[in-house]
Amino acid sequence: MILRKQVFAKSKRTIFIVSFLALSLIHFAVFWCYINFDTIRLTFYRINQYGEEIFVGGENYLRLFKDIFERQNKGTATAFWNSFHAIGINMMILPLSIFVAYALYKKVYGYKFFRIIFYIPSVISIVVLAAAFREMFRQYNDGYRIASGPAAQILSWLGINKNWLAPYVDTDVKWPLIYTFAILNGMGTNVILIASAMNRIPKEITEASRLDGCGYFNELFHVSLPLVMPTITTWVMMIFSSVYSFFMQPMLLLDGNPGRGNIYMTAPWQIFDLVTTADIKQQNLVTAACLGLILTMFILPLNLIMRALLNKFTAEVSY
Amino acid sequence: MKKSKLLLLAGIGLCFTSLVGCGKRGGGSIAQAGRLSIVYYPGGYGEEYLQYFCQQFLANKRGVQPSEIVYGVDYILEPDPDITYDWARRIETTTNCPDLIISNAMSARAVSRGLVANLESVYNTEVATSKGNKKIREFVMSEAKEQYTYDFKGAGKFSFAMPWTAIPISIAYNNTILKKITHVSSIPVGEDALSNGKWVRPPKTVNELKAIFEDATNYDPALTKFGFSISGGANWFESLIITWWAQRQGIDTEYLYAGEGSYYDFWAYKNEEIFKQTGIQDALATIKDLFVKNGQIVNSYASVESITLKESQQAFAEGKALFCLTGDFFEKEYAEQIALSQQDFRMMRVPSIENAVTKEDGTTPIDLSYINISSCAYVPNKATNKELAKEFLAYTSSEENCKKMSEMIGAIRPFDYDARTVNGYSGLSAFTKSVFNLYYDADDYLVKFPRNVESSKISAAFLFENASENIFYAVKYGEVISSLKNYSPRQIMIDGEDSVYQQMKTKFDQWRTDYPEING
Repeated sequence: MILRKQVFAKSKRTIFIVSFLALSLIHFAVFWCYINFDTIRLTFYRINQYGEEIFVGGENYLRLFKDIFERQNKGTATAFWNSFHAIGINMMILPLSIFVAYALYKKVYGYKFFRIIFYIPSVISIVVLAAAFREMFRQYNDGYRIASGPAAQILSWLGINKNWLAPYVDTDVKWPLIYTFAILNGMGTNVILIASAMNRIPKEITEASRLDGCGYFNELFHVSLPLVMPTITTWVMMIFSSVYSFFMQPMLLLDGNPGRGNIYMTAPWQIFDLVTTADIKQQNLVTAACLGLILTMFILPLNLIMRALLNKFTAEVSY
Repeated sequence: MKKSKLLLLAGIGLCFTSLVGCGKRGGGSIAQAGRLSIVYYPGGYGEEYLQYFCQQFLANKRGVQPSEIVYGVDYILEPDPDITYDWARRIETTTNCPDLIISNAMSARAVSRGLVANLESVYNTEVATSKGNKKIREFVMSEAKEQYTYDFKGAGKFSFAMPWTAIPISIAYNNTILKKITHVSSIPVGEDALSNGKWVRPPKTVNELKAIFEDATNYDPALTKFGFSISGGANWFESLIITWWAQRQGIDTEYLYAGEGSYYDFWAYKNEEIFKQTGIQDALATIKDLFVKNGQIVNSYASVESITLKESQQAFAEGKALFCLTGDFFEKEYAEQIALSQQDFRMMRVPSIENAVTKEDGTTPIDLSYINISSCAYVPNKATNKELAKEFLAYTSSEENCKKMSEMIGAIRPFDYDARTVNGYSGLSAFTKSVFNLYYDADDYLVKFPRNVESSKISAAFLFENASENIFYAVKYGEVISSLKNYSPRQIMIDGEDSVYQQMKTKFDQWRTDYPEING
């Protein structure tokens, strides 16, 4: 009787473990193994207008390499290189986030208010934020409807009149606006992350540094920053990965208009476009897969190099 | 322990319900045996006429009164604004596949992948016409029929869609304002254009159009001369471009530019060289002449780059512009604004360019109408009631029903009948009558489809890459019009770094790999 109970309990435990593991394993098999292997397999095929898959070897890669590196397809090349703006944007976000996080950590006047302000973009959909930002720079003046977004209006009072976000007007202000929006949109989470890391710094350390005559800036650069370096290191690693997902900001801000010759498009945006039209033209799925893998070929080494460098030059911190 | 078991069960339950939710979209399937289901693109025509035809058809078939045909039981209609681009999702599945789709466009890919039913039996059905019984294939406009007849690998040649409406896209004008405008411009206009110094008819030539712009400025400097939008994909500029281009290039045969091919040769879509046709540049130069001054768009809304197509037409309906680019749907789509503004709107032919193709007299420019024939009806292969849908298509293709549709929605079906002979013609609005005149008085039609080309000879790139969606294919209309502010038509089309030709060369290079059978 006791043995039967033990066997029953054991099998119950096994079922319990397997049922939990099974979910993860199925998830891994479907969403990692199947998707990745099928994506790679697909890149060696051409899907014709009849829906037939024809093996073409490396032809798809060759074509895209020529498109991007020999600029045979300027639109694709421009979109590909534009993706790396994500690195520039995140490089700008990093120091700004550190500065703001430190200000919040030091409880500047109204810090609770500012914390909410900086956190709000992280909990609001980027679609809403982009729409709000677009409205800020919208300018109408067509006789029957005159309206200006607040930002456009203020800049107009200052004598700066631009066709800020008008579609099909390729202006020199659109990329700066994309940068501004992406920075404002991206800072919130980083500020919270870095501020949380700073809050974990033992008070004794900062008090000791104060007693040693450290000012705010010295404390930031010589005490706080080194102690939150693991958080920043992780974040720096993600800078390169952000290239993969850099499309919502320009796409939403420009209402899906990539500009003449794709001057505002990015490779992920192009992948998005290709995938969304793949049910009509299935070959687009192949092009999207190839483009994604070429992007990975670029980013992966950068990621590995950065990781090695960061591991080498940043000290282990524990407190 | 009990609590954790409950939580586990609740979790599994949630997973299950969410899976069930994924499987059933929109609260059930439209497909049901014996019930005719139609998904349509909700344009300006409304749903009423479809209800009428469904009731009449089913009542006729079943030998009952139309009032006995019940919506939801005997037939069902679903407006789907995404059907133009989202057809694949809809017809690849049997769960929510309608019996009939009436859409703004259809892709040959749907046919090549075996997703669309063969409609040869419908085209071979005899229908009553005023010229006696005819097979539908003899009654339908040949260009419209050819557009939906391809020679597909393995499947042979067959027709797969029925043209639904032929939409004349042109210029609408505000007749109430036009008649108040006095001619003061130094540009001479035709004698019949004026009465007591005031305009009585719309301009017939580009020069007259320029004259009325000046006159309109004199009448009311705040009045927008020509309402259009360049902020979105569609803006109906194609009606101006196509007309002026064909007038210079020649319609079926070359006119001014030897060795470049004619307008219809362009649509054979052989290679990228077609984008070098000088007639296209002539059309763009005319647009530039009319609407660009000192690097700015003129004679239209000040923020022409921001205003949407809908807003531009709406403003026109409110009486805030003299002319507007639009189609036959304008009156129904903006009925509310038109009722408020109490203005008299009409459609006019695109004014002819100088040195245009002439009629036989050698002096009068030929009357051309650009017709959009992309609207069609097709039956998915996975439809539950395929035969019923085919019968419905045949039923709606009789002359009587074509006329009824014209009467009900003011649209023209691309069939051999005259909508001006419909029973209630006298009761139709002046706008609808002007649309009918635009169509039936034309010497020739301009459509975005190769003419006199066997279906097996049509370029694969044209068939499978939606080439007819946009003349410039790789560059949107809005971009081209906007570029006129800073560049010449030749730079935009051929010489510029990102010219249409350069971009199309890249496309054709790609298509030559994708479609080994492509010409050129």
